Amino acid sequence: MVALVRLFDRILLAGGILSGCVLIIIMLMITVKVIFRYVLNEGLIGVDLLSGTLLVYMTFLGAAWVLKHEQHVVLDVILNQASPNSARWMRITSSLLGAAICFVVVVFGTWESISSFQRGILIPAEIEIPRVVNLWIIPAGCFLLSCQFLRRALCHYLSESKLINDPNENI
Amino acid sequence: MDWPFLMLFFFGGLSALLLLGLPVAFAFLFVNVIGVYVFWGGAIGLQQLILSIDSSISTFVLVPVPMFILMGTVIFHSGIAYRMIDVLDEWLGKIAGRLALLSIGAGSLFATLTGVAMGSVAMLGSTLVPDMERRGYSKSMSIGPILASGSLAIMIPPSALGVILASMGQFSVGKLLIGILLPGLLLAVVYATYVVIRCHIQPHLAPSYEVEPTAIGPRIMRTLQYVLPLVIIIGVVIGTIFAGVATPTEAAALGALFCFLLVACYGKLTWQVIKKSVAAATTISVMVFVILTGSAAFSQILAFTGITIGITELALSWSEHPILILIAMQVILLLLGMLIEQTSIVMITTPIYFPIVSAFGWDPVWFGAITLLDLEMATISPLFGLSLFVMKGITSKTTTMGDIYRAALPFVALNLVVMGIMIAVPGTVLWLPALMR
Repeated sequence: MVALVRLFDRILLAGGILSGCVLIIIMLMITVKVIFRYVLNEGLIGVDLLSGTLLVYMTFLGAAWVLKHEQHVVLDVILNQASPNSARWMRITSSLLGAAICFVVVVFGTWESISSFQRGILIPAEIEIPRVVNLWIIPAGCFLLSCQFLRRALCHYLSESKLINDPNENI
Repeated sequence: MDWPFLMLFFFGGLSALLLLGLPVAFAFLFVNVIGVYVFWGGAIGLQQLILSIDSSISTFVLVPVPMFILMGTVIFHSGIAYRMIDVLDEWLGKIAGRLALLSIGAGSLFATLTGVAMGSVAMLGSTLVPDMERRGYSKSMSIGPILASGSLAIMIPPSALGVILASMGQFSVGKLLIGILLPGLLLAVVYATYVVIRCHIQPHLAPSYEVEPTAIGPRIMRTLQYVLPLVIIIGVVIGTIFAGVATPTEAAALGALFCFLLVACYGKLTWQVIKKSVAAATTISVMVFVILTGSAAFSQILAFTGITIGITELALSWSEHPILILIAMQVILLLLGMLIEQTSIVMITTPIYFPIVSAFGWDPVWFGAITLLDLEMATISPLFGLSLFVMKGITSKTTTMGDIYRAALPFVALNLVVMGIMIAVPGTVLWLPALMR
């Protein structure tokens, strides 16, 4: 079980690192595009499209890692006023709802990705890339989110918040 | 079903999920899934939802958001920002309320760089307030200016929230970024003028003290070394958008790269700085983008169920008093802004507000600039402004919420004055965008 938790943590961390790398890649890609236009007097086709696609990757690669670090925005007005036990049950319930809703996206995202791949749908733009390239990362990221939400619910149930955040972990 | 019931269902459900503690992004997703399943034909609708998640964020128009955030985190984590505060401090000399002015200057700088008001309030509150209290500054002159400086976070470009608002409202990002420049600078001048005048009339609020003089030569050198390069970078970002040389996306990416190069020139670009900056920028960006994944579906559901058109028609039925509609819209934003984070408010209100803006024939850039000021003002407005609680958490135990409210109120009033000017004289917002190429 501990090994599984560690493996999952590593996957989340890898997602976070890749998400950061995507951010830097977007910055460099757009800079190269500007250099091509003003220095070499040539346009680079497809950079805008790819940077949009990479935003989807950045988001879904890093979403579960951000959840693990409890950095998603939460309205904690009631949570802070509730008794510890009520707050604990609220967290368990919200985590289970989060897991369920992400799982719905996993199912229908996978379905849509497969369907898009089988039908060979392309994104109509200056360069045509298969739509599945954009889509598959959504259910993949939501699968990790779903697992992290379940783990969060379990941790709150067991009241072992240390399992949610490993203080020794650094990106 | 009538649109008011549907609206109650959607917003009631969303509120319940938010109050339960479900992260905002997933509360939106939940409401979207239910709405899509019911109104878009079950499973087929849920497949469409996946496409709308993709289309909400796979647009290069949103690229400036992570780039602006990255600019701020690089300058912040490299320590360059602190050097800049020291340089500003040297220039202020023995002026009335110098520490209050410094907090406005430094706060504007941090807020402009980070685009996050509460972060700026936390940082400056913990560093400058103890010094101000030690020198006998009143609470109104120590806490107030720091709270106020956060208001400039989204009113002086680069402004990540401005990009999100323009992108969701489907109007020019560049024009909004240029349009908020004058009101932002006006706000900074109004704050500074208020501090100087009040400290002259009531010197006991900010007792003057001896400042060790520094020679003009080294002072200029340090300004050229630490302030000028960053001013040039921000100038390049704004200037290239204004001149039409680069799109906001390109200007933002270049700005982020220049910030890395600048930090490298100072010899501060260590692996640790890169890691911390990129990790912080990634965290904030992912947090914002996960919220935005629900934007397209949310606005489509509101339109599909007739809620958008219902509210627009309701607003138009009072069309003889458009100013009242505008004020009502801003009051709702202000109230929401005391409770919810700003990106989420933009998500909730944009699909409803911008059809009304269009129906009344208002300029979206003008309305967007007023909205941004309002959203920022909400964070320092009593009773529940989020920055007020951040300030309470970092000031001494003797500081009560009453002290913080009293300190914030004059600056809220100044914000209202500037907002009034923006409403009465739309040229304050629209003049610069009209000159853009």
